[in-house]
Amino acid sequence: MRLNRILRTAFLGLGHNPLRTALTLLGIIIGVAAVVALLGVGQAATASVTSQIQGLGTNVLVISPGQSTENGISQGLGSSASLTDSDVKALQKDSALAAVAGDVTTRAQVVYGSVNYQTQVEGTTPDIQTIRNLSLAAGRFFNTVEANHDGYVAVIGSTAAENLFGAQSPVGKTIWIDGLAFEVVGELASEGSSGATNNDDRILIPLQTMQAHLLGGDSLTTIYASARDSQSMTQAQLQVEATLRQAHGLRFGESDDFTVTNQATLLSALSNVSHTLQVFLGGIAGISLLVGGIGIMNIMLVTVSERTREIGLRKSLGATQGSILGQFLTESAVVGLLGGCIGIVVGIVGAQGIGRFLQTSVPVNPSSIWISFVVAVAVGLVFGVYPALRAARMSPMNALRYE
Amino acid sequence: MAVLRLEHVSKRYGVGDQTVQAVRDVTLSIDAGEFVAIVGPSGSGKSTLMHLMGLLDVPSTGHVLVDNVEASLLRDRDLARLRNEKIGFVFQNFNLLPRTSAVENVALPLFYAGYRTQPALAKAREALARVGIDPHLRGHHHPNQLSGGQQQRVAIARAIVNEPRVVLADEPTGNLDSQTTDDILDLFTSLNREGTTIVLVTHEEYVARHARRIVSVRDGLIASDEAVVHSAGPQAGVEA
Ligand SMILES: Nc1ncnc2c1ncn2[C@@H]1O[C@H](COP(=O)(O)OP(=O)(O)OP(=O)(O)O)[C@@H](O)[C@H]1O
Ligand SMILES: [Mg+2]
Repeated sequence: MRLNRILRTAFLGLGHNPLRTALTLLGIIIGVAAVVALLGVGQAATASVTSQIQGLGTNVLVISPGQSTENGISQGLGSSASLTDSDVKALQKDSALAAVAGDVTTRAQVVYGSVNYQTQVEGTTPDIQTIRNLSLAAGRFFNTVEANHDGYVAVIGSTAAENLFGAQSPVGKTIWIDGLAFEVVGELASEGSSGATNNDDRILIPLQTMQAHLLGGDSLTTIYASARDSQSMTQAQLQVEATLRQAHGLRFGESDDFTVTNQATLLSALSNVSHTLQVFLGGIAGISLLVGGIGIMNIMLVTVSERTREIGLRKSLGATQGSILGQFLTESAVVGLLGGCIGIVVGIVGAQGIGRFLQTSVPVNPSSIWISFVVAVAVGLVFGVYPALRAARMSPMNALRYE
Repeated sequence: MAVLRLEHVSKRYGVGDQTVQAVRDVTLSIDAGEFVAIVGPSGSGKSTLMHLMGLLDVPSTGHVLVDNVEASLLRDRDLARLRNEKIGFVFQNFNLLPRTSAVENVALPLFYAGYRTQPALAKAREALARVGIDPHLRGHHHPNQLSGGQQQRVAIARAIVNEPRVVLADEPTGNLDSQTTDDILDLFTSLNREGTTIVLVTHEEYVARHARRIVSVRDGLIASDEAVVHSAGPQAGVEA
């Protein structure tokens, strides 16, 4: 039998019961759409965290309190007071470091006029501007004099500015942070939000002012340091570790009570997590494809037994086992193929929808499209083999006598 | 020259612990150009015999030869080819594919023989014309748009479209009224005059009388095998 005939026969068979065919298709469509959309979401999540980490810059060291585990992730429990201003002073003497900035982050109530809302308030020093590569949309950053002499000045992130001031320019306005008045001297350029975190929803004030009047104490949440260039990162990191161990009076054999991370270690930690995420999401999608495949098999078995007499007739007219096998395999492969095509479209649309919901772009990887398409057709074929073999092996006489 | 030969053929069916002996040691030869009726009461093994002749079933013992080819030695592909090229089937319930036009139904054996679409459809139209169905008027009709007699004509066209060596018909008039039965029997008679070998299974003596040889079967055995002499058309008696 020629190919065009085989295809025609397959479509005739599928048209036999359109509702049933549509439902079988749905199983494959859902499976393929899940593969395309979920893998896209996994990639988007990874990309979002990656871009945040890359936003750090290649020569930035992030020092946080608490012991590290092997893969560089801070455990951070019970040792939150291990970084202080004196550590910053010690590090500022290190020749491998270009700049060092202490940083305390808290959440506080901020008031402007009748607007009152909670946001992240960060106490830091002007050096943070070069280390974190912060650019300003308006005004200026607070200077060293203000930073060291109780300056009540603030630099505001773009989201915080919008929330407090709406369309007005924030520069020159006075805001109240936990009951203290600060003059806004600058507005940060938007860094863009990535996923759930928003780097623009924050207010920076001088570290010294924050410690003296808002929080008390001299402990730090984070120390940011920048190496002279990205080549000297390793040397800088070793030096930071040595300096801090000395400052903290740690003896040989005692483990660090701080963690130094950089972009590279964070990225490698992330790649482990994102690999797990991809496997997990891929697994869910794979299971739904499997269920779709079982749906195909189920329907093909019903179809074969419903069409037993037709199979007998075709054999009596000269159909070989091969052509009967081909007829039913083509039918299930067409279901896989059609379901695959529709599923890819649904998956792409779904990925855009999820992207809009999460306010990020969800990429659709061409390879995930190809893979899910091939898998869908393969699922159709694999799960069609058993029913088709059953049809092909039927004795023509028994098939003709079948009621 | 024998088109079909059964040599000491028997067929047993196992039903649970019991076995049913549907055909017992039958030897039968059908020559080219013959018009044979196989008659016998219900359950006597007529259909089983026909399935064996048509290579739709394999005998428990004995040999089936189609056009002098021993079927038990053949693989599936060669069996399918013999069924396709040498044998045409006509069934009691027509067995046309639903939702498929008359022409396409008739062309089906040609498609299995590897024909391209257009030549197959052209040949199918010729076959329809031969059995008295106007291919231009009725060719595109689906089976459910045709009367029983018309459906059986389409089925006969399908059986002869490949110019087989023999047409095997199992109760082809069983579902038809008496007028249509006569039409179909006349069609078989004229096809036979044009040279087609026909084996017709029936339990009605009236139908059998259209044949030129009557083989009667009882309990899986051939009880008699006689030629029919037609003296005055279809009403002629049967002679020993
Ligand atoms: N697949 C089968 N399994 C078991 N027994 C069968 C099978 N096919 C036929 N038989 C038995 O074989 C015997 C002959 O059956 P067959 O159909 O050949 O009779 P028949 O002469 O065609 O009868 P009818 O005139 O009613 O069609 C019957 O006893 C029947 O029950
Ligand atoms: Mg019968």
